[in-house]
Amino acid sequence: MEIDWLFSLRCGKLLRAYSVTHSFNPANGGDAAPADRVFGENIDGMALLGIDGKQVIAVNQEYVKEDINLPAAAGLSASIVDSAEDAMKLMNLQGITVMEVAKTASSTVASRR
Amino acid sequence: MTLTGPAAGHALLQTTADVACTTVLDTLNNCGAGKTLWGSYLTCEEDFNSYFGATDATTTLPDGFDRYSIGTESRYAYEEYDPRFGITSKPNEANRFGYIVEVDPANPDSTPMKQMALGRFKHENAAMTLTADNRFVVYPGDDEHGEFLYRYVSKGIYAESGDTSTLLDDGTLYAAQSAADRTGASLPLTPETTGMNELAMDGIHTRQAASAIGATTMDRPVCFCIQRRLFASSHVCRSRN
Repeated sequence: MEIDWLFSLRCGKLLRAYSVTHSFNPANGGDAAPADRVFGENIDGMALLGIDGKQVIAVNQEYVKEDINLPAAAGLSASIVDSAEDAMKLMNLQGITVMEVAKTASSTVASRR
Repeated sequence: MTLTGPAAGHALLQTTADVACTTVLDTLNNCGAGKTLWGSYLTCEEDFNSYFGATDATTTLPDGFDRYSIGTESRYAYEEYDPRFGITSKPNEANRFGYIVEVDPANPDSTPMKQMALGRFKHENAAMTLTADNRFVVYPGDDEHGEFLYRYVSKGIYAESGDTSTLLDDGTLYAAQSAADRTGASLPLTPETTGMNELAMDGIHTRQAASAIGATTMDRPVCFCIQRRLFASSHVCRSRN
């Protein structure tokens, strides 16, 4: 069986409702300010829901990887969060994303509800 | 988000920011999930213990913390920058995590609810079904060696397009007890059976309550699925271990 697939969203990207131009910056592990609107990584449970004729995906971002999200601290063995901003960034990258997906003429897009 | 169920309002949940013990910020370490018959999304707080730590290494851990592997060292060191995660000064905050959270994806303005009647432990996922008389059933997995298999049964009856608002916060949580002859029983966690005096304590110290009634330990009863057997009305609940 062949399956056609398209990227809807990549980890580290802002959801479309907020920006279509933002890219994940591996040098700093992503900016802290928009972390609450970023699609996080380490996704686990999820569900597809049909709501008013639209397709909605709810998905968990279970945890963060310190070496990806705080690369400046890579190699340290403990307590690599060294500021309140670091802590808030990691908190905001974790949680649940609820997004609507829709197939357009050119691609599949995801926007946060 | 809102704390719901019989444990809401209990003193073990009280913080300076939430004297009424009914509102909590955050959901942590959301692992597996489930979708209810009425379209809400259940997200499961798993390794919540690793988010809490002590800013003073001599801090004495409150009763029950060891059963949930909550210690003085955290994974992310949040406690150094946000006092909510510090068990030295805010020991009750950790009692507000380890639950299943219900989210209404159809309403972005809704407030998620921590459904504390489903018990407190390292929730992996939530498998759901109905009893023969349409009571709503949840099998929540506990990702820990030597813990238990649970089953929640609602007091109310599920009906399509009916009121579902109390189906997850008013019911009975059971723990499984099995015997060598392959028979078993579901034992209710109630003040009468666990000796914990308050139903709220069964919801906050769920693992201890299940131990008190003699539930059978399992080797990581992590993730459950429900399979409806052909030619029978019973269900099979299975651990992946």
